[in-house]
Amino acid sequence: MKNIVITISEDYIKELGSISDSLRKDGFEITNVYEFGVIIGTVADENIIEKLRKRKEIIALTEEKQANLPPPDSDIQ
Amino acid sequence: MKKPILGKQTFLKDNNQRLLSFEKFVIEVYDRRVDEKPLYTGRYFIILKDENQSFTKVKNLFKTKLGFSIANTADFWTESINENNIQDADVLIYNDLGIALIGGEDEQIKILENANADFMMVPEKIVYVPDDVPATLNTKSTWGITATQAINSQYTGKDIKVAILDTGFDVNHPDFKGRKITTESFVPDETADDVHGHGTHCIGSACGSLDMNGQRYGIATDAEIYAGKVLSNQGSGAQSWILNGILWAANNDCKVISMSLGSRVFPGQSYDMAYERAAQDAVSKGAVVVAAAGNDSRRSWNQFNPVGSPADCPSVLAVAALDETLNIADFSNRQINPTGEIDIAGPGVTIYSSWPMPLRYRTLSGTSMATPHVAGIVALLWEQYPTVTPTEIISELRNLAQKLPGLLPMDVGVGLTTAPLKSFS
Repeated sequence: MKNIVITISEDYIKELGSISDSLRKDGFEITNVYEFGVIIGTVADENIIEKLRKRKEIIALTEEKQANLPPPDSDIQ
Repeated sequence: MKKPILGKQTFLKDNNQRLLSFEKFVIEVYDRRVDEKPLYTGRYFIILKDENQSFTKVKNLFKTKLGFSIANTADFWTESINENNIQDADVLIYNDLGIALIGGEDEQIKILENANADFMMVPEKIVYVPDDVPATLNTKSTWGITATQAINSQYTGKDIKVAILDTGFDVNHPDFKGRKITTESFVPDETADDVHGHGTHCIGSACGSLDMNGQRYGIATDAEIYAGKVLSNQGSGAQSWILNGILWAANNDCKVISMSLGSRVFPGQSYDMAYERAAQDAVSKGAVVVAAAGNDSRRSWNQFNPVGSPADCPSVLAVAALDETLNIADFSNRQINPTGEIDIAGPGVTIYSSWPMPLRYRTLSGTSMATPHVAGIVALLWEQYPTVTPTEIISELRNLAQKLPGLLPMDVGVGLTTAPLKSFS
């Protein structure tokens, strides 16, 4: 199970709804769709990622990042 | 007309393998903190194998074979041993200890090594002060308020909505009584209450006012506070929580979005497209987006790391940290990747601000502290120019910055952020 962040090409932002639907059909479990052309979700296996990469509407596909702060008792924050 | 021949855009597989080995390389090459410090002085100790043996035999070897001049601790009756007094000696013999310190040339050391005598040789180690000497930082220094001229500004950020996306906020903090505050948590199963403390500190610098003794520590003292919790009580957050927070702030007409958070970026890595989209969206809705450049550098060890993510996005202003002497902070990241520029710098060393009760105040350092100072000044600018665009606000922010000759734009951008002063015309 991997959390994936997909960015849709600007040319296709208007079709965000139908793109989301077809991503779902490909096995991409969507958790969030952002109006600015970003879709976040999870995939169960790597083969789906390979399949998604071939889509022309997708300009970036990355694993979801994490932001981390130092522990509260650290002097540098 | 002949049709243009267009290239076909292909999507290459993410070469994770390469990224992983690159990460390993970076850790080995950039993070060699311990190895950067030499371990040995280049001198040697000779230790007699038999404690009861005298140095007579070895002394002979020193004199005849090596021509060493010898000092002896027995010569220092009253004074303590100071190396200045034995500058001409090649050997210092500690009679009572059965050891001698040798400062000879490489060839002489080789002869000794091959002498196969009754002693051992070990290199003299360098002793260091531990790296993290915890400083007691209980000073109530609010130098940032003076240095940024906020203290002299007539603007307060009145009615300007300032979003701080962080670990939440202690809404019951007595210093914020009567302030307009909206909170929202994007962290599953956690309320917007700030258990970590980081968020309350950042909100204090951007929007706080006076402490219990009347000392001022915040920039936009009358701004409307939007505290979005995107980092958990443990201080970590998923990218989607942060995107949720950016969207929430932009849709609520926040005029500045401050993010004292980030993920580490490696040299050669490009900015994150999803963050950039979210920031572009916020700008299009009228917000200025600022983020901390990150604290991954250790300049005193000649270690420089690139601006983190999302600060490295083109639509996000990256903020570096300065100390009270307006020098760059030791930990502050620099521009190493082409898009990861430093835009501006703010006060970020020994910054006194609010902390969740009962502690109430804390003094901290970091680009996390510099970022809300810039956010606060952006709020003052919005009060001054309520009808302009984010791009115009940013250009005024740059114009107002105090130049820092002697420091590089790759470290501090246009310089120290300063507040607009009202013209009385």
